[in-house]
Amino acid sequence: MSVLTVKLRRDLRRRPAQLVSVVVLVMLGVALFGASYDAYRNLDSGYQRLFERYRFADLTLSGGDTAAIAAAAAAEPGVAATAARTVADVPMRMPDGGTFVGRVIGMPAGSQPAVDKVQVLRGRYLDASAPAGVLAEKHVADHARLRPGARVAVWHGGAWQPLEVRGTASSTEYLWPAASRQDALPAPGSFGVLFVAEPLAERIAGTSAPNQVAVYYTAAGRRHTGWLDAALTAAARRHGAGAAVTRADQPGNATLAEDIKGFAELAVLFPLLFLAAAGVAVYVVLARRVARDRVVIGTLRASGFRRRTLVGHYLATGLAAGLAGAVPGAAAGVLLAGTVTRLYGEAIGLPETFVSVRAATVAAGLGYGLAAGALAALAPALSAARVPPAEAMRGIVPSAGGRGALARLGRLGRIGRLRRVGRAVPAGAWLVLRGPSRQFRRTVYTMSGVVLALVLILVSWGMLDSSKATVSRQFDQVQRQDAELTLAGPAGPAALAALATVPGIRAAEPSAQVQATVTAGGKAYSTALVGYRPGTAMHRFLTPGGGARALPARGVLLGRAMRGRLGVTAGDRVTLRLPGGRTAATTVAGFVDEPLGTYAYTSLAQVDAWAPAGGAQGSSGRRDTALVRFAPGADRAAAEHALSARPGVVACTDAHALRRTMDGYMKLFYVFVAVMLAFGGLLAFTVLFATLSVNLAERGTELATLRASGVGRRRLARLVTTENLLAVAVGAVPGLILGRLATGAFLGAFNSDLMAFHTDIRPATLAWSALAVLAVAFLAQRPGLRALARQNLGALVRERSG
Amino acid sequence: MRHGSERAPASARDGAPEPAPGPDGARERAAVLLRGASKTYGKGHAAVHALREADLEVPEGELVVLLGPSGSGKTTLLNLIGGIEPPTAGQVVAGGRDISRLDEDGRTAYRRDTVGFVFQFFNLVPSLTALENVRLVAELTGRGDRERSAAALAAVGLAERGGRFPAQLSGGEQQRVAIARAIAKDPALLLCDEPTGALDLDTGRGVLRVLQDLNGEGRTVMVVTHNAAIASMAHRVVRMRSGRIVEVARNAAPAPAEEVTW
Repeated sequence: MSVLTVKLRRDLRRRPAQLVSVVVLVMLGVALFGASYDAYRNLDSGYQRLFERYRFADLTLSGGDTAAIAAAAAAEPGVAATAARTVADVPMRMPDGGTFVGRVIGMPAGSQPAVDKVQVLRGRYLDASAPAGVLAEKHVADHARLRPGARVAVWHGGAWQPLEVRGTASSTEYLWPAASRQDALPAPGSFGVLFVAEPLAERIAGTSAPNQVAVYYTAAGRRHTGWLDAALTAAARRHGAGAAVTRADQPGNATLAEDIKGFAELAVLFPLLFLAAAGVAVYVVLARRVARDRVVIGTLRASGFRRRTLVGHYLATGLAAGLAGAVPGAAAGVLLAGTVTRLYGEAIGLPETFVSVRAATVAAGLGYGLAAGALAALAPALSAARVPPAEAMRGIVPSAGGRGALARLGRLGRIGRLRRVGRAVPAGAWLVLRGPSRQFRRTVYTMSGVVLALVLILVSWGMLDSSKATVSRQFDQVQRQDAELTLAGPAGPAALAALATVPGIRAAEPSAQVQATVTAGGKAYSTALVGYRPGTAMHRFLTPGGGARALPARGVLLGRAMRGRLGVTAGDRVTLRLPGGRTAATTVAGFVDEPLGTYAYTSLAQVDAWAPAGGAQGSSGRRDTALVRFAPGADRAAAEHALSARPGVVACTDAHALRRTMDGYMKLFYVFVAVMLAFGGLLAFTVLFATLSVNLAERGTELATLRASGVGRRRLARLVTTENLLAVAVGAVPGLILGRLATGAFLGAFNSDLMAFHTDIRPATLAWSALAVLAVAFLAQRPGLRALARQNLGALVRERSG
Repeated sequence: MRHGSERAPASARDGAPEPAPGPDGARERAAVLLRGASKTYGKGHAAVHALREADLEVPEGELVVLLGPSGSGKTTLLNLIGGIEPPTAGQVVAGGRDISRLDEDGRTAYRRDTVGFVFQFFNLVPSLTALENVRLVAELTGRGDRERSAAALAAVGLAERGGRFPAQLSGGEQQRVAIARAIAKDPALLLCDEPTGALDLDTGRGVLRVLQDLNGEGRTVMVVTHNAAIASMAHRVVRMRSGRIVEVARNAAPAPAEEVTW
């Protein structure tokens, strides 16, 4: 082993705490990268395997002549199979009396369909010998405790039709039980799917033929998905089809894809923050080492060492630190990825999860760790190579700067009043104020550590705040009703008045919704068209500009996501494709900015004109509802029970159930934020420990001289602490700004037509985050201050001579 | 250890000038030859003329002391001879080779193969033992570095202290380790910058004794100092002032290091 390598090893061991801090940062960055990225890949590939096994539809075409659509699709190269089926959204009643609008899906009795198969989890598959038997989808089965033999009912022909549960099943379409893209986050018990024999589905839907075609592509066809989707959609439209939903847009799949995208985002964010922090720490420590070694480097250069030998020597320090963190980090990433995948799968209720170790991820993690160390070490290494051999002729000189930027600014103090103020400032205060400006580069590194930590903390805490604000925006500002009643038919004034007399009810309003595909310029977006009465008290229409507006008498208000999807602006004409092959042309009256779903709103009169009432069933696509508000302090459960018992009310959905569900999710979020706070604190501690300890080490002579001059340890510690915290406080300002921007960027990645987040971070969160980092900085400098208290001038002089 | 007699005879290579005749008329072999060597730092009004048109010839095997106050240019002169910096003008020839024409890589190779440096503040690597500090440089010149390093430490009387770290050695011992480091690669030219500047009298004498012994082996030694007392042990004394060589004097009877006092 060469002596230079011996030096490298001893240098690494010389200040073990600094090395450990760098190693920990690299390890965390690599581990969290591996865990996030492989969890994402595990889940994504797991979904793909399930999709293949159960032949999850690549394209679903609704409406029109389904036989002709299926035949045309089957004839297209790249299509492996088609399946025509009947789908209807109808009121359902569970054994416990709970009601909601659920979905009935027709399946061949006796054999699985060619597309969108189900996995029977319990009981038996559908059988022609039991025409009233149903398979309950896993989520509703779990919530309503449905077992084989349980009795449920669906609203059909103006009456409840009893059905028997033959079994429970999992479906790739409902791995996440999203009712639609407008209702991607249904509260448990507010939506459910029953698979029934196709003839029964047609009877419930009131149709004589299937109303939907599911198409499954071959592997070759999937390589040209975009083209095939467009071709089949165009062909289906020629046969009268309305909505065409691709696999990527399928509500459940899209929601899960958005959700696991978070892992992919974290796989970028974590390594970015931690490895940047590690880079800062490596740079600071190594730059200090090079500054300290200048005379030795000069000696080596004078002795004939080549520049590249010295570059390699100092670069190896960064590489060693990177490798030391990357190896355990990559191993931890592999273990964590499996755990995260399994926990996520259990939380979502996936029928199975697939965990695999990816060599590429491990290699990338190792590469990132090494790259972070090497890149951070490069500048100090090159600076070492630039040390002239003449440097060996000098003694050790302090590398700290001179008077500093503040002192230069202080020249202004020559002028009158400023001069008097400057004189009044005690020397200790000048020391505190000038310190950060004298060590400007070091101060910048300290600040960058603060910035990185605050970004990490705020991205998580800010997401929590923003999510809570999003829930509040949806349920306190936009959606004003407490419950939604699905009615057997349109509610007349008398019926509404009767509803308002139910104990605990303060107000009731009519409403209606109908499935519609909004088209403009060849682009289409399938949504729900919701009608309210003018001046509705049940819904506020918030505009993208931040204000609120009234429901227009004519035209439609569109969710803001449609502005981009359809390429329309206010005043443009759009066409609505409605169930039954009807179409209506109307004007875009404006846009609304709502957190959940992308709807189209219009007046109830317009809905009546475009989609006349036909009862609460799937064939007309129209659902008549009444929206009610409870009196303050009302017993919600009793009120809902009373409402459900009213004539004409076939389902009652608690509008706040989703809020309670989301509040429940927030508890998980608190854990996430706590973990991120811990990581952010650790990140801040390690970076600040490295920068502050180097700062103290570099000024050892100066501080020892002050001590020798009679400045007490406590006073010196106070001065140094104040100086350090001043740098941290200054760094907190850009940290908070960048943290907020990063939160916005991170949330923006989740924004879609399914959900829209606004960055909304409470001032208290900003204040607490900054205080947390200040507290961490206070702790991070303690080891350095203890060392300062222990030092003596004699030892310092001896060290200088060595 | 190598001896001066083993070194190849210097000749006028690389366009180097022939050495001047010696006092007895014979042409002595020149270890170092400077012709009009100048060094200026900075430009224009900020220019500092550290060395002005220096002419000097140092025969092989001599111990030369460069004397002068701070800022007289003696360290700059040493830097030019050691190939640490190129002259701004003029010529520097060492071992018959014009080093003023060398580029950075050439000067690095020259320093590696020809020159040993000893500095005022020792400049030892604190994380390496005495022996490792010597080996660090000895490794540059290839195989046998371990044996050569041990021999170099023995030559400066520190054979038993090789396992100590710099902080565990006295100032004089540290300087002797620095000398061992300089001679471990067997340089023809040993350049010392204030080698006793950080040492007390007794320790300084010990270091001077080592330098005189190395010179006695035939090695050319140049010592920069502002301590006039050291001049008594030199064969040749070069006095400098304000960047100029103001006097070059030969010392017919150099005193032993033990007799030097200040």
